[in-house]
Amino acid sequence: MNNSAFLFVMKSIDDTLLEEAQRPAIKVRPRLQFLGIAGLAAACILVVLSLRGWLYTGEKLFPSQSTPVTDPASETAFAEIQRLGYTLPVPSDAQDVFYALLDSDFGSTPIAEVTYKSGGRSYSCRALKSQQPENISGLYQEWTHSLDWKAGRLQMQLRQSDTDAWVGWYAPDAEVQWCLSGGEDALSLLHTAQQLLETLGYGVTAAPEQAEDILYNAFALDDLTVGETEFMLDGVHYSYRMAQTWAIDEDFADISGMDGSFQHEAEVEITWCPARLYYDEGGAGKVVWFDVVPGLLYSLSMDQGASEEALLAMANQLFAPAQGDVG
Amino acid sequence: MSKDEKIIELFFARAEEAIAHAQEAYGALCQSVVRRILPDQRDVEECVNDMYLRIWNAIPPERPSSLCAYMARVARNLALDRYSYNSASQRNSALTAAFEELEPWLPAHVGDPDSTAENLYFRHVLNDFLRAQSSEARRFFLRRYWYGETCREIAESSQVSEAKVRTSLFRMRERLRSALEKEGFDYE
Repeated sequence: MNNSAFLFVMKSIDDTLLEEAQRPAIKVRPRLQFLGIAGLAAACILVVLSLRGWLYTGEKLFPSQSTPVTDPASETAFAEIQRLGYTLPVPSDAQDVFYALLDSDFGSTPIAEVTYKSGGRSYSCRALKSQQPENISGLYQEWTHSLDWKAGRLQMQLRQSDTDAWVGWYAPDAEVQWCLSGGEDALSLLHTAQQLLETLGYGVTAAPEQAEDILYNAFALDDLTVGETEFMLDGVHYSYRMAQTWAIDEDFADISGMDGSFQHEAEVEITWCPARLYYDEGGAGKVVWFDVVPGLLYSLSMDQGASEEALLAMANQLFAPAQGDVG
Repeated sequence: MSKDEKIIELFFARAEEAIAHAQEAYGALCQSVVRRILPDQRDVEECVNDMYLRIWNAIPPERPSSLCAYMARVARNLALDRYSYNSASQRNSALTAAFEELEPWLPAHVGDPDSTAENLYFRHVLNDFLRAQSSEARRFFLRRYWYGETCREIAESSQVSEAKVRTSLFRMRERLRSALEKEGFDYE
């Protein structure tokens, strides 16, 4: 054994990861496991769709950062939060609004927090300037559901237990981590987060701008949990799927659900990922690819108008690597 | 208020019984973490005592999100420091045995004192790689190769089969190598 390599590698891991590894394991009851995963996957897709405004029907809940502040301590904190450059939107119907600056576990930068009541529920929204995603929820317990995913350029986090939930998102461009908590209903929090994200001006890409009839789904396929977004664009039906896998085979799984033979086959790349492309010229087609590092399988299929150029263009437009842009 | 929060509040109140409560709750865990790195029992006891002093000085201002995980991490890092500077303790341990299993999947010159820039980049790529994995796979990997736990221990604490742990570790090693090769690290 190379002793210098041993010591170097042993000291190369961030403390946050070392601590995470020692937290008690979370065991989901097997009979509920798939429903839980599928529900959360659907919720994640839902929030991605919601972020685009497709499911948005009500009045805008977060018109702007407002100042309904009456408590002197809160007023002082609000002024300091503004001076530090944080944005903490609150709904227009918010009551008992209270701003505070909290000591942070992540260095000298304080966490900005606003707590309020809206629709009979209490919320806490926090923000922290940080160079990496952090758990700033202030909630520490064994989460029954834990999910991290990428929506556009945002790194999203969701944690849920029987009693609490929080939704977080980290914006690498702004280097700010946000967190919204309140109650145990993660889906409701995701909807509220959608409104907040709109106010903050964040958009994500789950389907092209002009897409219509967008549907989301989550289901089991060959022992994989697959998340799917379907949409129509220029009369063509598209299905965009994603699934996490343990496999690392070069001959990776096809999760498109589109079987049969095609006139044309090609090996291509989607960004850096190996991909297989199949299509009938002007007819149906699919491209399947695999991002080996996070272990994510993808597929894009279209029911007509297929060509290599059309499939690659749409796949490259939709694909948002889990590890972010590299290089 | 959870058990951890109560103990942390005692630390914040500078109440010395905080140490006793922390010891009662997580002392055995910390002993086992250190024992996998330092085979000598005297080293283990000294290291664990150092750990209590360290957390007494660190809390406050620090407020760990999980006291159990925090103490285990501090104990591990102190044990590694002791391993570094105590040549007598540089013998085979559970952690070195685990590292020997991982070593063939690491680049050729990792940790070489003459490769400072490469080492810095390795650290960056390694942590990014781990963050991109599922939390379960990451937990198995770190517990095996950075805490020196056996596959059976990991399986029992995670309530999964030992075969699942072994399969996960194998695939993670393959993925790590693939990620490092993609970033240009040399495997000769």
